[in-house]
Amino acid sequence: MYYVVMIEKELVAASTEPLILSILAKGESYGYELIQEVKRLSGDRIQWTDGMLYPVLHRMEDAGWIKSRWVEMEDGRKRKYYAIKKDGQQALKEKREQWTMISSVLGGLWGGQYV
Amino acid sequence: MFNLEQAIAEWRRQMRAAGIGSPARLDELESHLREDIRVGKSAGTTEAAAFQRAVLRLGTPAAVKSEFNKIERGQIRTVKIGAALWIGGVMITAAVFCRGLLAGKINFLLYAHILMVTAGYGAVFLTGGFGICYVYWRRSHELSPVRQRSLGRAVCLLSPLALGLVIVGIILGMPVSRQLFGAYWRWDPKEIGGVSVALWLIDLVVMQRFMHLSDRASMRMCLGANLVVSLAWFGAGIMDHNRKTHGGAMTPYWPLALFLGIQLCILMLDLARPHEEAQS
Repeated sequence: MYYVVMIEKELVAASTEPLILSILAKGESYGYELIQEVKRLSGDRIQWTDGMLYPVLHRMEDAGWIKSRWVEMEDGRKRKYYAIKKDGQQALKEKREQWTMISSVLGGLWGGQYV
Repeated sequence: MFNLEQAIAEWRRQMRAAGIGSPARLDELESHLREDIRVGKSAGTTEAAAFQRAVLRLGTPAAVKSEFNKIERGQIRTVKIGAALWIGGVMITAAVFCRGLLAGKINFLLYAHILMVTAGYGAVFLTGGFGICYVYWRRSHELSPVRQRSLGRAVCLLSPLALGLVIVGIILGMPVSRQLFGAYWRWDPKEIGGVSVALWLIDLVVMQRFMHLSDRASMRMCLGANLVVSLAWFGAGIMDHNRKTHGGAMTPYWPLALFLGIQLCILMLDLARPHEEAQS
């Protein structure tokens, strides 16, 4: 029987910022697209509560990691796009080092298996 | 029959009732909701079902508000640093004049008067500093909603505090004036300055509390308060000193004029519309 292993809540919360920064490092995006991208990349194992994302985005904007702008679509609707800033690139670099280190430690502990 | 626009209007009303009052936040959440509904409909779901599913995924108003509360609790670093500097300044003033108090050079009333006025004027300068940060961030497109809220909250807290301190300082100054000069009130430049600051602050606090003054207008008032306090504190001080020199070295007014000029420039900068606002 096939079942999906869901990621624990705390781990999802801890990985939110690096995931957002990593996606935005590839180009600007908006809330809904970010959620869909994370679902796609994780094979539906990471599922954010949609309403949780926006306070995180605002906090990251306040920290100076990302910036936002409203864009009017062809059908007249508006979307708020987010883009990574220089400080965000630096934060991403630091988070990447931390996550890589944890992955490497766990990999060593678990017999060199790829984590 | 299901009406999407009515359903969204009702959803916005519920969000507002839960405390998510910022239109910018609601617009962004609504944009998300509409995106989800659009995707649902294109997958063959009915509009009503797509709406229900999108609302469910976004979270209940209380849950969304709870998430926003997590970022609202703390103040931004600038506000924390400003508050720490103000507290530090007040403590240094208290320590410096405490030496005079212990040496018997000043009495307790004068000590308390100096401390209250310094703390009150210092708090006004702090709100003015936040006003400068607001203008700078707004002009450089760095004014995030979190920064705006944090500065707004700080100014709303500091303005009545400054008013209270200045009023207590003025009241404490009256018996001091009686002891030193024989009259409770002499209409000298420092007293007039103190009353001017108190009146300006009363105006600011009343407008903040009862007239729903916008953050931007509040920041402008704080920048204006900077000008009033500069004149009341330093202007009156220089005037008083120069009056007593009797041919001695006069204190120049130009540093004060320079300070006032800079504040005015910042105020004008805020009054001028940014380039893109003017284009739209």
